[in-house]
Amino acid sequence: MPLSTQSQGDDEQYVLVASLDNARNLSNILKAITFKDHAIFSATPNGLKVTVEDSKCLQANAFIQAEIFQEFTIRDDSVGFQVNLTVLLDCLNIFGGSIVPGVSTALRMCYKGYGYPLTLFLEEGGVVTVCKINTQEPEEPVDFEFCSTNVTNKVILLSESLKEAFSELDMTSEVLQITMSPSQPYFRLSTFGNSGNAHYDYPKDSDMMELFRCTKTQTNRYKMSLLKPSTKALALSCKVSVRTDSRGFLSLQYLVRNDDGQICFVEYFCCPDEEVEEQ
Amino acid sequence: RCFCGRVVRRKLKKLPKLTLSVLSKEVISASLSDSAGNSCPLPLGVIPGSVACPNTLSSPVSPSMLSFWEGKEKRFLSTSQPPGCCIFPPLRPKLLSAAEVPNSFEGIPLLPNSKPFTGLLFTFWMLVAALSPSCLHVEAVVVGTVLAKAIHSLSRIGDELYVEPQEDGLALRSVNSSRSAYACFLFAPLFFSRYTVHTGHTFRCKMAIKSVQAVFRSLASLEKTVEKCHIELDDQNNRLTFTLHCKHGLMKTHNLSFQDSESLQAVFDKDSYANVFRSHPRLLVDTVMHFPPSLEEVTVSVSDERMWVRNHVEEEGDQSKAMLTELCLASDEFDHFAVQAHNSVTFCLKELRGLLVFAESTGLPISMYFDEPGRAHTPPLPPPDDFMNDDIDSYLIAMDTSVAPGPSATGPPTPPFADSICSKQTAAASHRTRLHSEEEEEEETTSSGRPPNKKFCSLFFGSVLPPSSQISTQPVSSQQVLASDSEDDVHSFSLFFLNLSSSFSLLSRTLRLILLSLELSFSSPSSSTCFPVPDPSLKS
Repeated sequence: MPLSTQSQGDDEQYVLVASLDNARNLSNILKAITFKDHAIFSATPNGLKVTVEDSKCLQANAFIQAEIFQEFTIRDDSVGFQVNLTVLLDCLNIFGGSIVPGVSTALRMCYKGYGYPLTLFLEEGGVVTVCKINTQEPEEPVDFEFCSTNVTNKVILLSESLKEAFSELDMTSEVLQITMSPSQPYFRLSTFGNSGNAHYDYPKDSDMMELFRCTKTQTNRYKMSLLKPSTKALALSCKVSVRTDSRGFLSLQYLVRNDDGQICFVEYFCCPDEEVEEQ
Repeated sequence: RCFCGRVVRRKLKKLPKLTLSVLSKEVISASLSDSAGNSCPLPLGVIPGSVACPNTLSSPVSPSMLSFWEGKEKRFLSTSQPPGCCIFPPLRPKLLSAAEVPNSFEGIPLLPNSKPFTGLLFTFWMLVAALSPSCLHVEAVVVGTVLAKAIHSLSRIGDELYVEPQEDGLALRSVNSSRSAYACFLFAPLFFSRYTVHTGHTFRCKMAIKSVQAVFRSLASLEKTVEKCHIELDDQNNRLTFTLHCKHGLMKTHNLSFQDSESLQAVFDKDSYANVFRSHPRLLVDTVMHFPPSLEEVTVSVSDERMWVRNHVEEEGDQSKAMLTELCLASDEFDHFAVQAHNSVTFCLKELRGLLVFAESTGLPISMYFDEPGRAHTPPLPPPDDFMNDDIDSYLIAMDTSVAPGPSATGPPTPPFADSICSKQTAAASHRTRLHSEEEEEEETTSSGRPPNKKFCSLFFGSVLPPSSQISTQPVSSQQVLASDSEDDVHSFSLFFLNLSSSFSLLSRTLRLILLSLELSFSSPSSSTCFPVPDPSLKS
């Protein structure tokens, strides 16, 4: 592969080098969190974390572990930059989006450090494209202070059941209300739209429910417009974990399998819309 | 009172009793009688293999739900023929004499002074029916996607879904905005695994059809995942609840709000139609497939052995760009082909397509009935009378005004809500439901007279509540008169005004409409006399 024959000496100048045989393993995940133009990239020896935020109320993170990459070299402990995610995705798909079996786009992503552009080498069928995307000062992502110790309710569901519910959600409703309870209705999604309200109930003993751990009855409302982007991640995922903490903050974690069967995670954090009296 | 045109008034007679006699397994005769002892027989037809329906019934009664009196005893009649569902584009009232008007039938409200509609009429049959008992709420448990398909089909007709749980089944109806197409799906109780409805309390509601469609959005997923659908109508809380029990224990509950609604029923007389056809829906689907999706109107013409279907081309349109498509169907392609009148009708294709999608998915045969387009005959003029002194509560006013003078007897009979081509026709409105169309396209095929030199055409159309003794018990919302505004032709439009004792908002709307007509009438020399003097109670 032409990319791998590049002189290793060049790599000395790069703070971060990441290679993938199939660029789709990265682009698909990034599509799941593309609801804003800009994304904060944060690379550590463990892997790559891409963060997208909306009005400090919603945060989406995509985690691609170092093991996913064919090559993942990082010189510093942590490298961070911000790029235009839309442009990055356009570059990753520069050879077109069509999926032809056996043909994939290879990617080599290189970053020289602060002030330098992000350089992408993309190759497909012998054709090489070099893209240089300007980077920006990375913003500090909001820390939602969502820690596992604070989690009151946790549920793990198979995505296919939620996919149907989310695709049918009444969009005229401003909020999506999530009720989690150790007793009936266990796990309920509710909308309040123009024509009336709708409830989707998942019983705790359902086949779709992999894990049900609810300690307290909680009802929280989240702005529908904030949660709508998460359906992209839901569509890609096979399992989703829904957690709420004592403040009502919502954490949605999606387990995504890429083309090669490797696992990546996408996580959404969302602030509750208003305080609802706990029943 | 005559203005530029004629006033036709109909005094409603109340005919409370409908008597059905079973003459044989397939023939029932019916007669109406009123308190004064007048009676008249109702002509009934026989639909092969089914129980005949009196021609003034609003919807095909599920045969097993047919009940009647024999002497003083109530009897029930059952057959094995399933009830059906109808779509009517377009509709034209046929005037009956007052004596032919029934007032009520077994809780299925008929239209006093109801006129069976002529026009094109499609029906097809669905499932069998059975009797069932009573409660205050309607509860129906149903399996299958037929209900969902029916709702999707109704959504192609109109924007609102009219729901009426009846003893003989759940009626879902819709009508399009120009009132030229109507569809009714009657789900007999046997369609449901459980069906309970409250007797003695006619409940009707309507809701935006999009909200119901949202419940049954994806037919594919419905088939795969939904095991049971529970529909509960709670009129005390104004909620219609759909509960879908799905696989893996998932339960979807939709609580939809609704509005009280007027009764929406088309009156038609299937048995009096001259032309009757029946075929597998595939035939009609293959026929309409040849027309572009944007095509609005088609014309169907029949002879003894053939049916022609062609698109309707506006004569005023750009002839160089027009494309005419015509198909000819032979009578042997139909399961049943009976032509008595060689006629043509033109109707809107859009609503038919919605029905065909449903029919094809169920594979049920479609029956087609039509007669003449817009057939209506001129009633004799009543003697001139003092408008204001009449008992306004119990009559109908229909007035067609136009600049062009002319005797009423000449010219082809045409309905009043058409464009300026038809100048002389009147029609009586029904008490409850009135569906008519503004088939300007039909007028081109039926009117033989030339359009008169009209500056405007206005139609005042009135309907009233039942006599005052009943007004207090009946909510205004149950009053129903529908009329359509002709959007295309500024010279013709129709109005309706409700009973003078109806709510003020309705009144103000009516006044606004009346004012609209005045503006147009100023161009006419006779405008000053073209407006009826309102009743003094109206002024108050």
